[in-house]
Amino acid sequence: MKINGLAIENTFAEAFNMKASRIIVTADNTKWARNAAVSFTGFATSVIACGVEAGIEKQLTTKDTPDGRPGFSILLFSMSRSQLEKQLETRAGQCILTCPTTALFSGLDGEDMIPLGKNLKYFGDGYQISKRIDKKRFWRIPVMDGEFMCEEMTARIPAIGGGNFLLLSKNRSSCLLACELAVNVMSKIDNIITPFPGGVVRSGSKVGSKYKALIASTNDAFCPSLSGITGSKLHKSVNCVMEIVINGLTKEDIDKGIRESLIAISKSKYKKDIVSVSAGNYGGKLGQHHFHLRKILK
Amino acid sequence: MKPLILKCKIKGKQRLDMSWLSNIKASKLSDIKNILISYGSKQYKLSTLFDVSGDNFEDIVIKNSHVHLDNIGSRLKDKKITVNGNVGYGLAKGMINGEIIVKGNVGKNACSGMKGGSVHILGNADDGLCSLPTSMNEGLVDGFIYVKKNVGDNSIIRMRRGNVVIGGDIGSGSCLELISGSVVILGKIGKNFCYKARRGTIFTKDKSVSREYIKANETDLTFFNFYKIKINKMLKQNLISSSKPLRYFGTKSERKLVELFVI
Repeated sequence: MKINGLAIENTFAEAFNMKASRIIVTADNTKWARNAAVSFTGFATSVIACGVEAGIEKQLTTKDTPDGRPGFSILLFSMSRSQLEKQLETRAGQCILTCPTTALFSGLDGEDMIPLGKNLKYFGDGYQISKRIDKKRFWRIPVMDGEFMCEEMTARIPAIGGGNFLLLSKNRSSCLLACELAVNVMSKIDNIITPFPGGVVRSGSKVGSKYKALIASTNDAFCPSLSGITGSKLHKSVNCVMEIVINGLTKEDIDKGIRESLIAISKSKYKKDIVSVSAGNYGGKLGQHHFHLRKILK
Repeated sequence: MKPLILKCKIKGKQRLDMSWLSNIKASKLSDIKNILISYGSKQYKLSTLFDVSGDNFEDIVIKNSHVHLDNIGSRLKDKKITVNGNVGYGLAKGMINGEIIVKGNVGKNACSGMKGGSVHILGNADDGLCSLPTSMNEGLVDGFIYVKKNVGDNSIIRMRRGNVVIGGDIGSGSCLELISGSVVILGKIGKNFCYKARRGTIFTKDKSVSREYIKANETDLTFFNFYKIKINKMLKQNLISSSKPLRYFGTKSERKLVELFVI
């Protein structure tokens, strides 16, 4: 199958059930809101070692935020409720409470609530002020630049993590530019994030390793430098493979991200260097969600 | 589905207790028409005192209401009541949740001991709005109250939490022993305001009350702006328009943590 001349392999991405939450961080200006958001989403690429996968979903204008200041919406994904709770509170306390002029709000409504500022309030040492407005509780914690305001709880909802596709390219520069284009397209789509640095992964992994201590190791079948000595899945002309991992609130959101970004690549000048588009899976036995590239692009 | 409409037929001097309205559990209109209610020294079928129509019993509209209809929305839960006209005392007494809109004036002791929900009064409220009910220590536990015009004396007593927005003046002895919560007063404030208040936030245009408070810094107005946006959005009007309020925090006499924004 080809889309505008871009070859799409007959394969699928395998993704997992996750728990997600959305928060909104605001500040006096975009610069400080971004500082807080970038800090909060740092070291949050994979649940394998980071505990949570997080990323900036989109930038918000003053009309979109609860306090009328510029801000960012952040999505967090985790495999378990406890990890999500722990990471949310830790990161909020260390990265947003500490960042000048910021405030923190929930970006989701739901029945399954988890703490956001519930325990951060104790930093106020008794001077914290509670405000209950429209069935939601907010905390005002005095800090050195004024006040840190945060919502007490946020919602947790079921989500999907690990949607992906692989770009198999003749050279590294085109592959990277095509990935950047795809990430740029997905940054404009709501409800999804690409949690890896710049949205791109170069170290795709397989389950297991020859070393017993490791649960994952390099995906040798997609390493061009090993194509002559392992059971490679790469064509001879492929010299670089990069992966984009997509986490989303629903399957439709991830479908949309994959579809629109691949269509954008197929219409770009980088297409000529892309040998094909593939996807990462574990044989379909581990993940609950399968994203068949050809079905999505039909 | 059409709301349940109760058109009042009586104009007498007898008071009518409407607290039964919050407990309607009937599934048929005929059942509702046959509800027996006390009026004066006798019991009457509802259809004798009201014209009854409609089929959505969770959304109730009272037409031709007047000051003798008491306890409307008392202990209300999960219902919406709209009243066209004035109402008597005890509106939304002990209300748990739901919504009440009164397109007229309300009598004494409205919203006394209210625990949740929202009440919009598009006229004046008599004395004792959010007053202490018997057997309770708090005049307002939670909820949202908007009074478009003026409020009488001795209102908002021992408010625990919630939000009260008053578009006009408030009488003397108000916000007595304020525990917490937020009160917006856009008109003038009577004597003995916030006497023995412990905490809470007041937004007012009446600068005279600020004499007893300690001037605080105004560098961080995050909460003020957030609250302004929230209240204006809830009331669908630009009620709080100030962008640079004067902030006071703590009383001079007892150093209580009452916060005051002069808007």
